[in-house]
Amino acid sequence: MKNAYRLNTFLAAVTGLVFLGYLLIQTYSPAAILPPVDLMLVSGLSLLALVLESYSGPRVERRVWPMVALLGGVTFALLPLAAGLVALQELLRFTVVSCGAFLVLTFLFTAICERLASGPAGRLAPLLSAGVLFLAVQGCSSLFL
Amino acid sequence: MKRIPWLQPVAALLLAALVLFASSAVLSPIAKEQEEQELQSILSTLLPGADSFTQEAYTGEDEAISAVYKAENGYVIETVTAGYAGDITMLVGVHSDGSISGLVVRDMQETYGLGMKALSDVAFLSQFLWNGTSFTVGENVDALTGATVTSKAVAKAVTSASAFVTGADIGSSATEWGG
Repeated sequence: MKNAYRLNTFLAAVTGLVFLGYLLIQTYSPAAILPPVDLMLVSGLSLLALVLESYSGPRVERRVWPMVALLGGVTFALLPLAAGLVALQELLRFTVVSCGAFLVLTFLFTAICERLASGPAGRLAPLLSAGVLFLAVQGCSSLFL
Repeated sequence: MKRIPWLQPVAALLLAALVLFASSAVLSPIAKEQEEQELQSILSTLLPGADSFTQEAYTGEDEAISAVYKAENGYVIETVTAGYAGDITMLVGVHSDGSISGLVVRDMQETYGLGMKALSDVAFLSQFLWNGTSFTVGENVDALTGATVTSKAVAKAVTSASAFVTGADIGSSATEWGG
């Protein structure tokens, strides 16, 4: 799988599945308290997509950043709207912040992963990078959403 | 034939959007019905002995109160108070004399392992039951360890609910109904 846009494919799939899970839980277990659809969730989805991309094939040599940003933005605008999880008034802010977080995380993840990926332990680099970045996002999550 | 590289993510995106939109449309009425059943079940649990509940409009000034459900032997009050990491939504069952018959947290985003204990910590929650009408952390309520803000928010919610029924909330119509 050499597609340079497979990160966006994974992002759409992961986000779609998680939001579908939200819909099902909200329907059949209305008393359940779900994590809010906010920066933490978006970061988790982005990092999961990045990890899946890392393990699914060869490293992407060169990302087409404008297209990655555009597809990421459309993902975080279209899917929450289709699932009814984000109100229309909040959609623009949610999309901009989510897309920004996705791009920053993609850049940092790629940079950290490349530096960690040396030797046999390098196989764990994507998981470790995602874990470290997820913890880092927690520190500033309340600032944006 | 040259393959368009961005076709795959666009197709995945459209498919996901279509599935979510269809699921949302199908599940929405079921969710509404389930939510109503769940609410009736919770209301009956919080105020034992009540056969039916009717939602009353709240006209008082207490910002913590968001909904009022009236029964023949008391009220169940929905409250929203500010916790440590966001709003805490609760349902509080109150007898006609202002004593608390039950309480449950419906929604909160507090810290896991600390404030989240307010969901299920029996020792903390049971302090409010049949124990007066006014609650203050540090006086007649012991706070959850490491979650003083959450504990204060819960105590404020329960006090507001009780005050509504006893008439201490003078801005509300509780004085006419149950005070």
